[in-house]
Amino acid sequence: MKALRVSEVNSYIKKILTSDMLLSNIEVEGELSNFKRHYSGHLYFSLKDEKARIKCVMFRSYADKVDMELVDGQKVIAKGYISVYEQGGDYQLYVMEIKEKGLGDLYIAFEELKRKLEREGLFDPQYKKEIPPMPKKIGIVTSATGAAIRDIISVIRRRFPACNILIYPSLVQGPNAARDIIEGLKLLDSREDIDLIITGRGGGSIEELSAFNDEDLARTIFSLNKPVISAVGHETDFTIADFVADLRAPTPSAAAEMAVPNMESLIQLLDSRFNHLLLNYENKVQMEMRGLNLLKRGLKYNNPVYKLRNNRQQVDLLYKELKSKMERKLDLYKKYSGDLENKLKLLNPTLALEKGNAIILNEAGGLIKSVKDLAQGDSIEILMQDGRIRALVKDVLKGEEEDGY
Amino acid sequence: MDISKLSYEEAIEELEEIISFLEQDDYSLKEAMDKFKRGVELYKHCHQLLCKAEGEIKILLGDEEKDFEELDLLREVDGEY
Repeated sequence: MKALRVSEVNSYIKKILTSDMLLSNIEVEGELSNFKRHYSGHLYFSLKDEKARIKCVMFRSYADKVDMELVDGQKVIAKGYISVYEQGGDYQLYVMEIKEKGLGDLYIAFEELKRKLEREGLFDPQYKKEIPPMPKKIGIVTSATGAAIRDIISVIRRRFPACNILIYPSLVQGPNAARDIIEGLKLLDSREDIDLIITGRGGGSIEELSAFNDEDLARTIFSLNKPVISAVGHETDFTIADFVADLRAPTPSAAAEMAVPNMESLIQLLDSRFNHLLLNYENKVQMEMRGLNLLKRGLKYNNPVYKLRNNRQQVDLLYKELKSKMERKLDLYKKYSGDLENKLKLLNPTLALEKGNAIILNEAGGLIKSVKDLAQGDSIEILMQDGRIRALVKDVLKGEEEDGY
Repeated sequence: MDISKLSYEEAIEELEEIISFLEQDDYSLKEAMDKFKRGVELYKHCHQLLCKAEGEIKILLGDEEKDFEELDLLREVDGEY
């Protein structure tokens, strides 16, 4: 028998399946799981019950007509046909209509546990521990091989490389995952060197995340002494662990962002503080310097040498003033004495005699200035420039007795 | 107190105290110098805390008896992370 090609086999299977009356128009009841809305608008998900699952696709033209919110855990009835995706060899349910059947059991259990723990106060903000601003060592409980741990490490390394990391590798899904995570949390919590614990995993269906919806895990997180950040799944995935943790991060990367500060911005802040310190100190020093300069000027002003020089100057000034005053006085005296000399000159009798005048003295030597001083017979002396004459007054004629006067 | 024993937060707090101390006027130059010196030391300490060598990454591996051993990821698993 001739071997068939893969595409021939798939094509043959497709033909058989699509020609089946039942499979070409079928309603399937199950719980929505792994629900994904592709950017093209097509919906991909699984339907499942306790024993099995079937892959489903709902193309955009049908998906657009769905008027309810589809979430994992929902019980739905999907109507469509079974066919084969030939390239992959998968058979799937091609859904044309979907309607709600009621919430899934897992979802109901989740809601019940959440309500119960909430009533007990496990989510109460007053019990939330503070996240240390700069942890020295962070303990992480998650899968050692998942994307979550890689994301957390790379973000911590980028933001705050000095931080130490201790990983407790644990299962994050399956029946033993919750117990494993609990053990890791307790171990890290008991260590002195750990400041903060992160636990979580990447996104998944409600079944895949179920370890983080475990009641014992929730109670363990609540009982820990150290602060815990939960980082389960994507932004839209909420687990019980998220509610009970001290801080819920939407993704593992976000948990790392919340756990450590950004070194770069801290350094910037630190440097600006240092500049502030420097500025304040410089101001103080400059202020002291100004005070010192003032004192220096005062000292200089009071320098005895300077004062002496100042005094000498003053003496010089005084001397100059004295000198000029004296000189002025002298000049005045000189001028005065000159005047006197001239006056004396004018008064000098010798000078008069030189001009031919004569001076008449009485017997006693007194100066005769008027005829009234003389009488007939008086003896007189007449002084001329070149000698004396003794004479007797022959007659005294008063002015008016002379002819003409 | 010995600066090397201060946490980052404590050091920052003291640095800020010194800064506001230097902002007022009523102190001597000697005080200012002492405070400034301490401020510089605090700054260095903080800077060192931020920039010190990269932290270690270790993974806890346990055997059947739950005896755990710390393995240095950076050394043991070359360049995986």
